[in-house]
Amino acid sequence: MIKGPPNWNARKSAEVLRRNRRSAKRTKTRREKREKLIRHRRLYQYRSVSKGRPDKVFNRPYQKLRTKFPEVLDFVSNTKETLNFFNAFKQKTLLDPADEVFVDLSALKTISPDAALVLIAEATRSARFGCKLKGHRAPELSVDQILWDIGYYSYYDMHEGEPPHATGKVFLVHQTGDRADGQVAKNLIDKFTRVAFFKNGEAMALYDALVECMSNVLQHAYPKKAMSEGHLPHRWWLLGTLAPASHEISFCFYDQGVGIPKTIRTRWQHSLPVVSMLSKNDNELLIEAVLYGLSSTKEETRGKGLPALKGFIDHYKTGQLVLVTHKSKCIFTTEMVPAAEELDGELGGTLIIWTLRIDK
Amino acid sequence: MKQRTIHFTQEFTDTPGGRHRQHGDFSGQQFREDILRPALDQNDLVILDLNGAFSFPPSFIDEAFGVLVDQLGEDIVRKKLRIELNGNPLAQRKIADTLNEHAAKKR
Repeated sequence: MIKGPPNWNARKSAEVLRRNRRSAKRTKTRREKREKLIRHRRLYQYRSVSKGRPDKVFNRPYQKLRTKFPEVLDFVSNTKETLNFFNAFKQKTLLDPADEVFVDLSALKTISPDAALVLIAEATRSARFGCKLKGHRAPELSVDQILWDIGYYSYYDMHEGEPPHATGKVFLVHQTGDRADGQVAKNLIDKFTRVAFFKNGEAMALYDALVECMSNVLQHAYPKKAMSEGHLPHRWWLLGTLAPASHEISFCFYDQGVGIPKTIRTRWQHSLPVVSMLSKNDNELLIEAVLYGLSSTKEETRGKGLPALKGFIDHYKTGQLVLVTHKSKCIFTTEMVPAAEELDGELGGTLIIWTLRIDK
Repeated sequence: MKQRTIHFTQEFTDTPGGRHRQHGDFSGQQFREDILRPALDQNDLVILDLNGAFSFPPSFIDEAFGVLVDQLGEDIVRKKLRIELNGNPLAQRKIADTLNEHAAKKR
C-alpha cells in the first residue's frame, strides 16, 4: 500500500506560503531598487545641471506640472517675457524636472518663428534628459499654423486631426543637425530663391552665414568642460520662413551652447587686449566681434566668422540681424548703428535671426 | 614642368563645409589634406578651378588656403598654386586676404 506523506497538505500550504513571501520580497526589492534609481537619476541630473546644492534631494511622489505661456512669445518684440517663460520651462522640464509636464498652449495668442524654433529645441532636450512632455493642439489658429508647419506637433505625438487652414504664412519645416553641412544650407536657400528672388551675391552671403553658424557651433558653442549632462552636444536648429503678404523673410538659427560672449572671453582671452576684455561689457564685445571680427595675436587669422553673419543683411536696405545670446541682445541693421540691450534673464545658447523685406 | 588642374566641383563638392574634418563632410581640412596638398607636393603647378561652387565660407577658406601657407610658406604657394574663380568677387577677396594674413603672420 502506497502512502503519501502524513501531513502532505500542511507541507504543501507551507511551501506556497514561503513562495509567496519570497515573491513579495523580490517585488519589494525590485520596487526599492527602481525608486532608488529614479532618486539617483534625479539627484545626478540636478547636481550636474545646477553644479552642487544637493539640498533639494528629490524624494517626492509622481509630479505633474503645467506650463504657463505668455500671450506673445517673441524674442524680438517681447524678449523679457519670452526669456522668463523659457527659463521657467527649463526649470520645470530640465533643471528640476517634474515627472510629467503638460504643455498648455491655450493662453498663447502669438508666436514668432524664432520662439517656435527655441520651443522645439528646448522641448527636444527636455524630452531627452528631463521629463515626459504632453500637450494638445493650440486653439489659436495662427499659433496652430506655425507649430503645425514647422513640425512641432510631430515631436510629441500631437500630430492628430486636420492641418490648420492657411493664413497667408508659408513655413518650412525646421531642420536640426550636429554637423556643418553645406548641403542643408544650399537646399534651404534653393527653396527661398524661387520666392525671394535672391541674387547670386545674396545667396552666397546667406550660405556663408549659415555654414559659419554651424561651424561655430561645432567649434565653440559646446566646450566639454562647461557643459553638463543635460545637453545635446553640437546640436543646432535652423528654420526659414516666408510671409507672402508682407514679403518678409526670416531665417533663425539656434544652439544651446554657452553663448558667444562667454566664448569670446574664454577662447580669445589670450589674444584680446586685457583692457578690452575688462573694460567692455558683453554687448560691446559682441558688437565689435560681429562688425570687425576678432583680431588676435596668437591666432590672428581666426575669429573672422562672425562678420559673415552680418554679410547677408548688408545686401538689403530692410535687412536686420538680431543676436540673442547669454544676457545680450544686439540688433544690427544696414543703415543704423547697432543697438544693444542687457537682458534680465539668460538665454542658454545663441539665437540668430535674419529678417528682410523683399521689395519685388 | 609637371602640371595638374583640380576641378573643385567635380573632384570635391559644390557645397563646401566648415573648418575641420570631424565637423562634417567637405571641410577645408579635408580638401587641403586629401586633394590640394598632395597635388602641390607632386606637381610644379596646380591650377585650382573653383568655379561652380555655391560659395566658400570663411572657415573653409582659412583652413584650406591659410593653413597651406603656414605649412608650405607663402613663396611656394604663390609660385605653385593658381586659383581660377569668376563671378564671386567676395570669395576672391577672402582668399586673397587669407593668403596675405597668413603670410604676414609667418614673416
